[in-house]
Parts: sequence; C-alpha cells; structure tokens
Amino acid sequence: MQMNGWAAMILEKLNFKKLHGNRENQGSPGNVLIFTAILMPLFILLIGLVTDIGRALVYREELNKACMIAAEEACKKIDIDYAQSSGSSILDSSFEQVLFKYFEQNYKPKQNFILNYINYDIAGGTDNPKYLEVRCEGQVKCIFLKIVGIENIKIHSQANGRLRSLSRSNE
Amino acid sequence: MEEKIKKIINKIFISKVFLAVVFLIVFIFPQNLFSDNWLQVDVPEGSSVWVDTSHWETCAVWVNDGYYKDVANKRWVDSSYVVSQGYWRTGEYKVWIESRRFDSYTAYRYVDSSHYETRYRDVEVLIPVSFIIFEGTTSYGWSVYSFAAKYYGLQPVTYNGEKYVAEKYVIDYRPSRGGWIHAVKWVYIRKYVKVRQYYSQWVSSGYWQAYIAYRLVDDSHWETRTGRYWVDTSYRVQQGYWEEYKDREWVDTGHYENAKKWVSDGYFTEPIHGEVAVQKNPKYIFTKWHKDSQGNDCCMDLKVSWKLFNPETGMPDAINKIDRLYIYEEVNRYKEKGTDKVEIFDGRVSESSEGSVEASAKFDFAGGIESILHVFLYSTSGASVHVYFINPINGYRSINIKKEGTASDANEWLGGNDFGKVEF
Repeated sequence: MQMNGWAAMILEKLNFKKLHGNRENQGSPGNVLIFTAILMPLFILLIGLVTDIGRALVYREELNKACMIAAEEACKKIDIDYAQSSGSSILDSSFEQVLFKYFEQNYKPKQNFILNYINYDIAGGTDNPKYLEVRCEGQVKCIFLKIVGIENIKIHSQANGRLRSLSRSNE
Repeated sequence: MEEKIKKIINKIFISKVFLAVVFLIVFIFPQNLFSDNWLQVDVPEGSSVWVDTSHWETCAVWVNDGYYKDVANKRWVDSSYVVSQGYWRTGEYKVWIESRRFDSYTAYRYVDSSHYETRYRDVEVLIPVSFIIFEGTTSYGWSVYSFAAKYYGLQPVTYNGEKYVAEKYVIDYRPSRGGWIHAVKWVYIRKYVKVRQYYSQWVSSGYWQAYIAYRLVDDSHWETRTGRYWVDTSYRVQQGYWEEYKDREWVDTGHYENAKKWVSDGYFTEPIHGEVAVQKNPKYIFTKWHKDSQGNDCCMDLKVSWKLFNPETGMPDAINKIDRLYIYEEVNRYKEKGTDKVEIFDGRVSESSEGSVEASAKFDFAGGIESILHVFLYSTSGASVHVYFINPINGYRSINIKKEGTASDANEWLGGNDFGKVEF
C-alpha cells in the first residue's frame, strides 16, 4: 500500500515508518487498523461539519425567512381608521396575531430541531412604530457532531419590517 | 400686590381679546382657516364668458394606400432565324443598271424692266403783285371822294393781256350841287403765271428672255447578261415561344376613412357668480387595497354643494342654473409612474341655482401631492366653473429593513383637509 501526500506527512510526524513499497511491511493489517483508528474521528468531524452545520445553516435560513415575512406582514397592521382621521400611524391590536400567524405559516416543525422562542420588539412603541423587530432562537440536535461531544447547535434569527409610503417618492 | 393683580387682569383681558379675534376669523373666513386656501376656483375673467363648444367631428378623408403584388405575365420570345443558302448557275440573267444624265433645253424667264420716268407739265400759279389802276379819275380825285367808295370783292381781271386777281372799289356819287361822279379802282394783288412742274411716273415694262437649262434624266434599265450568277434560296424560319415572367403590379387600396376633425366653435355668455363648498370624508384618503376596521375597502365620500347668486342683489341667479357636474381625480403616481384618471361623477342634475351632489370613489393607485381633484360645474347658459383641490391618495407596502433598524418616525400620511368653500 502506497501512501503519499498528507497521510504520509502525518505518519512521518508521528514517527511511523514511511511505507515505500517495503516488502516486509506490505500487507500488515495492524498498521491499517492504526491508521483507520486515527483518521476516523477526523472523517466523522468532517461529515459532521458538512451535515450538522449544513443543516443548521438551512434551518437558520428558513427561520430568517419566516421572521422576515412575519415582520413585514405584522407592520402593515396599522389602525387604518385612525390613519384616515389623523394622518398618523399606530399599530393595530391585531398585529401580534398576524405576526405569529405568518411565522407559523412559513416555519414547519422538523425533527431534531427545537424552536426555543420567538419574540418581537416595536421600535418607537405602538404609537410611533418606527419599525418592528422579530427575533427567534432555535437549536439543532447534532447527529455526527454528537460523537465529538457537540450535542446542539444554537441558531438565532432577526428581521425588521416597516411601512413604505407609495405616495411619497423620497421614502 | 395691586400691580400683580393688574398684571393678572391684563393677561386675562389679552387672552380673551385674542380668543375673540380667533373666533371672528373662524366665522368670517372659515374656509381660509380650516383649509388654508385648499379649495381653488378657476372661472374665466371679463364681462362676458367665452363658452368653448369646440368638438371633434367625424368626416371622410381619402387615404392613399396600396401595395405591390407579384403577378405572372406572358411574353412572346421570337426565336426566328434566317437560313442562308443558294447556288451558282450559268446562263442569262438580268442586271439592273442604274444610270443618270443631264439633258439641256431652252427655257424662258421674264425680265422685269419697270422703272420711274421724270416728266413735266405746265400749271398756272398765283404770284403776289401790288399796283392800282383808276378808271374815270386819278388818285387825287379818288382821295377826294373816297368816302363814297364801295367794295365789290375780288374779281378776275385781264390787264395788258395778263390775267390778275384784283379788289374792285366803285364810287357812284351824286353831289348836292349837282352832277354825277363815277369812278372805279382796281387793286391788283395776285397775278396768274404759267410754271413748268416736274414729277416721277412709274412705267411698267418687261420681256421674256431665252436661256439654256439642264434636267436630270434617269435611264436606269435591266440589262440581260450571260455568265455565272448566284441564285439565293435563303429563307426565314418563323418560330418562338411564350415565356412566363414575374412582374410587380400596384394594387390601389385607396379608400375613404372616417377621421376626426377638430371644429373650433363657441359663444359668449353672461359670467357666473356664486360659491361652491366641498366636503370630503375621510381627511386622509387611502387606496382601496387597504381595509378599514369593518373590512371594507378604503374609499372617499365627497359632497359638492353650490349656490349661484347675483353679486349685485345677492338674490339667486335667475339665468345660470347648474345642470351638469363632472368630478374626477388625476392621481399623480409616485416615482413618475404616470397619471391615473379616476372618474367620480359625470352626470346631469336637476337644474338649480342651489344644490348638492354626493359621490363616492375608490382609488386603485396611490398619488402624491400633485394629485388634483377637479370639479366642473356646468350651467344651463353654457358657462362653467372649475373648482379643484390637492387630494393625495395614500398607499403603503411593508418592507424589510437592515438589522440596524431606522431612527425615522412612523409614516405620516398626506392630506388632512375635509372641508372648503370658495366664492367666485
């Protein structure tokens, strides 16, 4: 068995004999087992990075999308009667309901994923809603990284939404 | 202490005066205060108003039109040819000999010898002379009795064998002492003299003169010769065929089309005076895509009231009565997306100098402060009043903004006026 490149370098660093087609060492099953035992955690770590972290990134994107839509739809819920009579914007009481409704519609519960919380904040208050901030946190249960001691990956998402007037060209 | 009380009384008095002034302004100029000249009116100026009745008229107009069409035509292609052939033969043959000569002959021509000849003739002419001959007295005796002389005119007289023209005077006088005096005086003034007079006379004459002339005589003729000659038996073969070719043909599709023509027309009418009030609800208008608390589309309710009167008497106008209204809004969309025209009311109303119309409108598009609502009131006499005001239409959508957020306040909406009154 010929080993070149980075594997040969690692073995050299660890004071193992470099195998260069030496007939004496050829076909020795013990060496192969040792190599496999050393490299296995590295492989698992790599697979874990790809699958668990990749999964976390995908879930984070989905959460972000749900937050964005929820923030966008909820901030539209202004008291239109008040706006028609006073010319100012205040948030309608139904905005919270709309926020959660759109979040739920755009977030599908998944296995190995727990949504810790979803929260919102109104910058300026309901009487002067400058923008609506939607925040949420979730955790992804790891499958491969669990082997190397990482149980969960926490993900956070945040999105802001506000109104844009269609009658003012400078906004 | 007293000063303090005085100051308090003064403050109260000033505040009351201020309030009174404000109330007065409110009652006298309510539209100015509430609407800030929101409602505008546009009426023609002058003693009489031009009512423009210009319109489009449909008339037939000839339109030159057509196109080229490919057509298949036939033409005769002549492929005739000549077969040149013949043979030599020995024997007699005729040859045409071309010959010409000049023959002389005697010809005659007329020689005209007409000319002028100088000739003369003797004629009598009168020349002036001056001498006097007395008969039966002398010049002295004539001078004594000349008072009795009488003139007898010019007379031809022969004297010493010559002919004269003389004036004849005669004295035939019988004095009172007795006797008879008779004398004649001839005053010769012209004398006949013979004179030779020369003149030119045209004399016609001529004669025929003989001369030698020449003429061309054609004596061409056939001559019979013996020898070898070429007998030409050539002939022409007539043939051809019809060839098809493509040609372009103009197909005239000129026709009459109904075209619209602008006809300028109009007339003058009496000006219109009165006041128009506009009431709008709500103050801030939103597009129909936004729902109110009942879930209904947002809309605008409008009430237009008018009152026409005579400006001098203040009585209702007897001539002008409103019989038609046209209300529409030009929504000036944001980001230069154009103008959307929303018709709110276009119809007839019962003729009246005072009345009102209520209408409702929903708007598809949002528009900025350039959006204007127009109200046209048409009178029975043809005059019209144009009232207009700025009426922005609010619309909004939601957006996601950056995570840092924004410090700008929540949206304030355009509009705010709900009542206006204007006089014209």
